[in-house]
Amino acid sequence: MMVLICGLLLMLIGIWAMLIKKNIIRIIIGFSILDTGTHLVIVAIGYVKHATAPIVDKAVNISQNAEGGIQVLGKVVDPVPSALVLTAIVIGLAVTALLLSFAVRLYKVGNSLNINDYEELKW
Amino acid sequence: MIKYLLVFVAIIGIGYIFLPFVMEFSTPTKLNPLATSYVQGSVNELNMPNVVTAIVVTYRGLDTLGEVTVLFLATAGVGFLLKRKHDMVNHRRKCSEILCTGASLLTPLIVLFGVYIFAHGHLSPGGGFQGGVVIASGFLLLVMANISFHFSHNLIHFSESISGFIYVLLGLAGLVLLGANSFLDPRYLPAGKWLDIVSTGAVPIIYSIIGIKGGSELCSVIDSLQHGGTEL
Amino acid sequence: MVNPMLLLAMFLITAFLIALLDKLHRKISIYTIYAVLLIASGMGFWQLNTLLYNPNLSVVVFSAGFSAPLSISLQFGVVEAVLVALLNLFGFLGASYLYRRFLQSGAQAIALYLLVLLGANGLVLTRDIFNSFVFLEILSIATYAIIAVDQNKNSLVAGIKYMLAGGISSTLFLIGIVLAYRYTGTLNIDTWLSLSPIKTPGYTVALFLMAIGVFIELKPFPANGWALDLYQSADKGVASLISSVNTAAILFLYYKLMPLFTPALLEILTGAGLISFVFGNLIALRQKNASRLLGYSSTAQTGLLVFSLGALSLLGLPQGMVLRIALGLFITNLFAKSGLFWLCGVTKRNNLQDWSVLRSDSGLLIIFGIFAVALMGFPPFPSFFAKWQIIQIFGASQAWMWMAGLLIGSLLEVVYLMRWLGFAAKGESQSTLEKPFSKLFPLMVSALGLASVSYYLTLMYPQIGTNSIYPIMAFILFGLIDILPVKLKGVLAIAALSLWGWFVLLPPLPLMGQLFALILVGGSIVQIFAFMRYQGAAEGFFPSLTMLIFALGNIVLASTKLQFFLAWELMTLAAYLLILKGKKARVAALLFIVFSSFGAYLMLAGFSMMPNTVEGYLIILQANFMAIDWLPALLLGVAFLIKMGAVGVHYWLPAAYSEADDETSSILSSVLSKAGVFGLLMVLILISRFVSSSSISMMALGWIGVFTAFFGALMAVFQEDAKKLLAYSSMSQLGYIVVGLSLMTHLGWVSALYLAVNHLFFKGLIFMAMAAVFLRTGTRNMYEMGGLIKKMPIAFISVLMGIIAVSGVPPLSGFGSKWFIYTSLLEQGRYLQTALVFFSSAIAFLYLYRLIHTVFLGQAKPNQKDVKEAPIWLIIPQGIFIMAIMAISVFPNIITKPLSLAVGDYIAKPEWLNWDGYNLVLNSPTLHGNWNGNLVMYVTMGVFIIPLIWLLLVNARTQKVKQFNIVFAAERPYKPWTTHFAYNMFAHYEKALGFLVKPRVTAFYKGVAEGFHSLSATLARIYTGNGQTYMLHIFLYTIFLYLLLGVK
Repeated sequence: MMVLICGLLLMLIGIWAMLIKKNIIRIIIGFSILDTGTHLVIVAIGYVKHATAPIVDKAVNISQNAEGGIQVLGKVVDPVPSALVLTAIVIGLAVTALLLSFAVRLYKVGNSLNINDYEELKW
Repeated sequence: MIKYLLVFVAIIGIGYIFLPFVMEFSTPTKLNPLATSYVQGSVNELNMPNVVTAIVVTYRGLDTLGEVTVLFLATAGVGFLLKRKHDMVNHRRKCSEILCTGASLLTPLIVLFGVYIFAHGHLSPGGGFQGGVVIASGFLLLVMANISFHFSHNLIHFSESISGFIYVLLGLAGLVLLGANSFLDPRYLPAGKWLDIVSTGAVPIIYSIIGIKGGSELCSVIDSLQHGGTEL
Repeated sequence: MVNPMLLLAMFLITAFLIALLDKLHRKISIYTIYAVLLIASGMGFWQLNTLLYNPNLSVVVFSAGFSAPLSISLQFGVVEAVLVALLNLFGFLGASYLYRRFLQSGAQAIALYLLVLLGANGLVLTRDIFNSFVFLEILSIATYAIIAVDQNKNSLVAGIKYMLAGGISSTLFLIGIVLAYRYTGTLNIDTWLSLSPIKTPGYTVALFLMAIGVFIELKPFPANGWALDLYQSADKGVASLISSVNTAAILFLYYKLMPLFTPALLEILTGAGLISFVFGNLIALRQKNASRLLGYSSTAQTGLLVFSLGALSLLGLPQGMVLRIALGLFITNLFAKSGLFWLCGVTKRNNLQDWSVLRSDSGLLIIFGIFAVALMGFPPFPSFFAKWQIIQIFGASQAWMWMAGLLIGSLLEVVYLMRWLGFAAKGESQSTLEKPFSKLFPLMVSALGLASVSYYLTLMYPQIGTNSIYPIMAFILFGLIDILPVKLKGVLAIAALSLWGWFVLLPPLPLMGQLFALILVGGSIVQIFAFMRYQGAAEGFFPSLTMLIFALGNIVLASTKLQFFLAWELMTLAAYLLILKGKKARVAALLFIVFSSFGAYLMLAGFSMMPNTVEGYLIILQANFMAIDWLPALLLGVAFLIKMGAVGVHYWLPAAYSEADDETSSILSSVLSKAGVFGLLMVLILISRFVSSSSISMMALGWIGVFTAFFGALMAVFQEDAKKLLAYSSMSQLGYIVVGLSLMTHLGWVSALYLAVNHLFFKGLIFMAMAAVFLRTGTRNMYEMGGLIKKMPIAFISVLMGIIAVSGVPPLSGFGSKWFIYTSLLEQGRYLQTALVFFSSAIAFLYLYRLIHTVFLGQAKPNQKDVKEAPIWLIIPQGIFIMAIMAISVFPNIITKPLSLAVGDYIAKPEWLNWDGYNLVLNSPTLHGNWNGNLVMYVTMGVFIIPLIWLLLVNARTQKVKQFNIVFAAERPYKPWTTHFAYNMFAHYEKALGFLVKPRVTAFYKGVAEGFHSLSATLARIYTGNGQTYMLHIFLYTIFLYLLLGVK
């Protein structure tokens, strides 16, 4: 619950940075914060009370059932959000990398990183 | 002024949107049916202790293939954007003796650790991406420390291309060997013994390939940011 | 079946290996991706083919050997197959457009391009919601990166704005997915759909976030500034990719998610789509930059698709039908929009006015025309049928607001696209274009593809019938033989049309239908001769002309509403193309098409409220047994009145009639306006059970007719331009017809139709004669002519006959028609209207007198000494019309008797009414009379002949004076022609009556146009160009929609 709220707050902070900061690099940092917040929210949603990581080892109680299959008795957290967040992180990384290289390129062409200096296209 | 007001409204508003969800959120005490069947299936059908890896590599392997593609995309995009005709002159100071030595000493260890992480991805926490990132961080250290260090472009591109290619081939092998619904199914290799490093079918191979792929992509990004992109 | 996994694997392998292939040779890698894209498209077609023969085939494939929801499933059904086939085909075309870019920019660009397509294919195929997110990101990130093929400042800035907006929307999408997973415990769409509905606010929030994430990617107004900047600045190949492939894939994702939405959410998003359609088109109105205009149009079209999908689903239509309709809109947009973007890249002209470079290249101009016309939803393009169906459905479900929005948006679209087309077709021609084959190839393929898809769709479409194809076939065939000499084409056209008219058109028609068929088709065939006066090939006339005439015939022959509307739209389009041929006709043609489209949309709305007609049984026969409500009658009536140029909606008429080529004007005035008469008559038949001559509605219609007649005549008086004079005269005559029709009596209708026939003859005659005059003198200003009686005696005789007929002076047939109208008006006790109509006839004398006097009498102008008689091709139709006028003047029975029979099918002839020739016997309760027209004819002839003989005798004593001798008598006037008596001839009347002809209607429409343009400009201000503002728009828009949704 706390993690969830922290994640949401991080998202809002990221949005705030994206909407207020003029420097493109800072806007991108804002985007990163927004992304991180999202990841926290995802992980928080997968949490199960008093559970461990979804890796079936000594920390998790297991039992053999009649047919020889293994019954997992111990509590583990939902593995799905953990798997999803992995993908989400990589995607966030890719977008951030591209944004940064656009910023680098733009700085070389326009010699400014202030987003207000690039308003030629409009209406 | 009006803009600040609007931004304020926007942030309050977005927070407000999440309110109903937060209000009724309570941490669950047990897994939902899908997650339960993942946990059971991972252990029983794939012989894999790490359920997250089972999902990432097998059940939702298509996502991971997409993820690898995204990484490839980022590399290609960054390289394409930062392409330069001539290398810029490097103005950095040469590193100190301690840093140079330390870096050369640490890098092989870091790379080895990375390999360990992706090779044990199916057994313990970790996996291809994590391992790849660790490997890339080793090379990053080398790049930061040693101004004369250059990646071999050809080598990076080759390993990028070939590892991606092999990954798709490993997926297709499932399709060929196990039937039309088995793209990315690793069970064409034997499941092996519980907790053995060589077990769970093709998963270790796939995760290693992902590790190499991820590592070389990230090295390529570092290289592009360092020296400007290269003509592929 | 094709395993879709193979499709994805093929893309991935190629993308990963492209860097290595590229080391061998750049061209190898380029041709490899061409092959991959073509194979992928082929897989789509193959799958489609398999499914057509094997519809029950399982189309879902799982991954990893587990079934969903454990694993990810792909679905390769019919819709997916269509999309895969089309998207990869367009991917291939786009890649061939970018050939040169690829040569320069390296393997990364090629791989990125391929991955855009991979993302699109994956997005189409997957049935897993998180997997959709992954493919959406592949698609987006690849698109972000490929924007950089053009590394100028603007495209980089646009790229950053796009990435930020895309980042926000995908974050919203992702968080929505995960929140929803918390409630549903699944990520598979099919499993999700099978769950029982969840009704907690938190779940609604999750759905909302998911939906809005995808929705913002679809660029809804006003949260779409980033997209517009992108369309404007990116390389046109990339812009085309984004507007077609990218948008299509995301749109399909939206479609897949739609069944998950709650009705309230779907309603809001559907409404937002409609807003996007209307406002996108509104803001496009004032755009001068071609790429940005296309951007607005693209967002509008996406809005339209979102709206249609949502609206039709909300109305509970079966999904198959929803998809078919949406596919019609989608295909048109796909072909036309990507084509237009490519065309932008070929012309390299940003300013719309500079598109006149296309004038030098008729091939490209035709391609441009196909795209523009298709986008607007003219037949035979798929969007026409889609819009037709949507409006019919809205009408049946009484969704008036939706219908109004759709029609308003479509009308705005017509305005700016047609203006653009006008610039291309009529602007100042400039330099030539550089046209690399790699860029021409995709253009040609998409134009040809769109045309053939449309052709087959029209062929296969139910309720159309073979007849409806003829106009289109004629257009294509005459387009193909357009290089032949004009005389040969004329003969071919006359032969084809006559045979068709005689053997196909006339036999099934009742008398009334045959009458109109003769007016519309027969009247036009006669005038084809005039087009044969041109030298050489005279390209561009015959395709439109034959299409026009076939379509006119089809209007009469229609048995379903759709056939009627299809023919009507084809007629409008053909007339537009003909008008556009005029030298200075750009604005006139635009006015014509805008007013016509306005009318057509009213008609569409009217038809949607009308009961369905039975196929194979002519509408004019069915009309007798049907009845419609007052609202559809009003809408249809206004639509037809627009075509007739009734007062108030006549604004387009003088411009179109005067600026078109002379032969075209003649057809417009004498024939085309009768299509409106036919339509109005049909409406009156449909409501004949409820209204009579004394109903308020018919009195009002009568007054409309009277004022049209009166103001038309009055405005004709003050024209210097002979063609404008004739245009207003035409309008005035149509007013009489409206008055006659409004009477709803046997005699009233007979007189109206009698005048319609007459008007065809005499207006055709005068226009042809004046065409000859304009041709020889090179001017249309009457004060610049004079004394042509000696040079062009045939033209003089024609005009003389014509004006006698128009003015209603005995002995010619015009008299009969006027007298019939007066009598029928009096018989119904409409004294005031009679008086005003009579007064209009007096005014008509003024302008007709001016026409014949200033042009043919008086002294010849010095520079017109050498004018010759008209070419034979103009004289042939005149001769035919003269003979026709003589025939019905001498034997009026040959026309009045059939008319009476034809009208008798609808309104029986009363016992007390009889006539023989002009001898009309009335014994009605209100009016008694017996007037022997035959006798009067001889008397009047005597009255005319005696002064003529006297004049001839006196004439010998006259003395000739040089023209303009005031120049020698006094000081030299600055503008010598102002001293000519013909200049401002009726200045004295203008003092008395001029206040009546102040251009109030013009001012009104100018005001409307200005209002829309300034609204458009004001709205466009929200796109400040600041990336942060755009992000703010997105957030505020999201919040706004959320508040609308009202989650508690």
